[in-house]
Amino acid sequence: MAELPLFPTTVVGSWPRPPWLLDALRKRQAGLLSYREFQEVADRAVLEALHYQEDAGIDIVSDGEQRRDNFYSFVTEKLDGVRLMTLAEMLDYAEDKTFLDQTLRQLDAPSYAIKNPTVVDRIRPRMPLAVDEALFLLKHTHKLVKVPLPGPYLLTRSMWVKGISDRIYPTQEDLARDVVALLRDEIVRLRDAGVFFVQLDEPVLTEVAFRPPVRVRTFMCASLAAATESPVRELAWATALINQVVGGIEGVKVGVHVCRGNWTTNEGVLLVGDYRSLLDFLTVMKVHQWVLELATPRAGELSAFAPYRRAKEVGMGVVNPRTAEIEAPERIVARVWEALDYFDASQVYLNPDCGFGTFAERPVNTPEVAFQKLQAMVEAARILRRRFGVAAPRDRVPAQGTISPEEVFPADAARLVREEGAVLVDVREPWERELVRIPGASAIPKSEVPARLGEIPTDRPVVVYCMVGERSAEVARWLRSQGRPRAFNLAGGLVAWMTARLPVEP
Amino acid sequence: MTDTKELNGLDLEQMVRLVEQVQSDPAAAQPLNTWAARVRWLGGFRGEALIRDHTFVIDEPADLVGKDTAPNAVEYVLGALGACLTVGFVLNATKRGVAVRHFEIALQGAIDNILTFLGLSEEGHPGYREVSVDAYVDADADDALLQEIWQETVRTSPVGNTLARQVAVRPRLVRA
Repeated sequence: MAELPLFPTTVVGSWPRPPWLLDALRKRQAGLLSYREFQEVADRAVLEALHYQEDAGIDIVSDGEQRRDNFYSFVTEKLDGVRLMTLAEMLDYAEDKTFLDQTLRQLDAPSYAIKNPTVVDRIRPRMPLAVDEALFLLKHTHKLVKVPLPGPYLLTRSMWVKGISDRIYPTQEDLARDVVALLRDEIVRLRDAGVFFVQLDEPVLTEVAFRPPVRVRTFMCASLAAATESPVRELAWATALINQVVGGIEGVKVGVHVCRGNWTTNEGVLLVGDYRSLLDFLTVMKVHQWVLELATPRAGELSAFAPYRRAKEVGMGVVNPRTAEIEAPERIVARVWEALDYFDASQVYLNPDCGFGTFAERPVNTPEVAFQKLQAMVEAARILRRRFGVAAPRDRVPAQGTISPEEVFPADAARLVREEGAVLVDVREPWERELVRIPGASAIPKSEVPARLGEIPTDRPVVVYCMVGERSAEVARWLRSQGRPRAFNLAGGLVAWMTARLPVEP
Repeated sequence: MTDTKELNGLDLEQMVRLVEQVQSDPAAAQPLNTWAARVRWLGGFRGEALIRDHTFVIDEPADLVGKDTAPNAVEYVLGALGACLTVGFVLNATKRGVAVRHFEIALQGAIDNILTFLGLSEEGHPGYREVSVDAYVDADADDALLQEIWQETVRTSPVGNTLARQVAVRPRLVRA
């Protein structure tokens, strides 16, 4: 297996399909080609996509998702119990038809052209989701391999349609159980096959986070909409599902990919928002890497990561897959340099913001332009390696500076607990604690602290914490004003605690 | 396909018979020239249309003080135009032997100045100033032929012509 240099270069997954592959795909969808016949055509397309990546010098390659119609509905062919239904077929079941009509207008598409994998029976694997893809790719490359999989939240949200799926799975949670088991199994098999990197695609998370809350809303194609009464609950649920899928699996790198839509080259209609509202959740996910859009200005400023320093690896989006111009390697280098305020050099991978052909019929670029963009990335990685040495990460992340006397670093907090019997108090909301917490900590949400002051002991140090240390700083100050001089805030919060590899549960 | 008597869900023989009959005897087309509807008030902003043996309800959305139990009148105009163009497209495609798999139209109308309807303005008028019509088709025919069918459909659409031309509306009020 290849040794990875510093700043490894990779892709998010998809590559524009050649016209003859699209032709075969349409024939396959019309039932004119058998599964086998289509796979033989796709084999050739995979090799083409692979050669583009290898020629560009990419370190971790994908198969370009050439066998898939798009990044998630391809599961229809692999699973029993799932049927590709058009929106026209589903319109009768939609809870918010006005929303669907508006979305169609925005897409400039008719309802019969939008298809969604829909659960119509108990889901059972007919064949592996991606192991077949991986085995072919591994046979034809010496590079490390990345395999993208649709994430558990995306699959559950998109495939469960009220009025259709609820006869089999009364609630989305019921379907999620089977989806989680399926994906978990698949990741283990991909690892055993020799896959280096499994990427869970969860593009709808941005939509959940950025969309103002609305009452009831049926999804459309999951890439287009997911709305909910409480974005925060929904994101917590998505996080829990991801953790159920990946928790405890070792021996394979797992990443989660989040983006803001990749179905059009018109940047004006794609989502806008930075990572602030997502980072609490991304941090809690038991994945190694965030694969993020950071090239498009719509993704906001890198400073959003300041409270989450070194929490995870980042697959930095450094080229925009939808534009014609090729990014200058020097500009990519400058952007990575900026990111090194928040990530260690050893944590940074370079990739495009998203795939080049997320939807087979709607590629966002040509293979020629995509190839040049990969080359620019690879050149940027070379420049960075010259500065940093090939594999010797030099820590540019500033040491955690000075802190006020009311604060303690995670290691000191752990020592206070161990040696002085300090009490840890979690001041976050109950749903946050369900996702992750420090073992043995007591729980008093910030708003209840004044009323429950009596529960906080006075005979020993108290360390209060929240996610990033902002809410708890207020609590610590307030406790001191109430005559508790040994109340401390956990500097950097749970994020810093986890980054220091101190124990959390579950 | 050649020996089939049906295309796009239409009985080809029946269609041919209709065309022949109207050609040989123009008077036979007379019933197709006149259409009628009766609308009665149901209270509030609700009304019920009686058309031959069919009825349907017309209402207003809640933000226009209606109960939002049905589309409103100007929305029915859009529905009528869309339906008319659909009928026309399928007719013209069938005449040319083109099988249509899917056809869908998205319409949107812009009222010139809704304030005039509410009596709050004298400027402009309360009717549609503009109606956009986006039609989507999935059929086995080349683009040029499909465009030709669409152009003919738009040109010969009864509702389309009603909207595009001045219609002499003859209103009368009777105490009864």
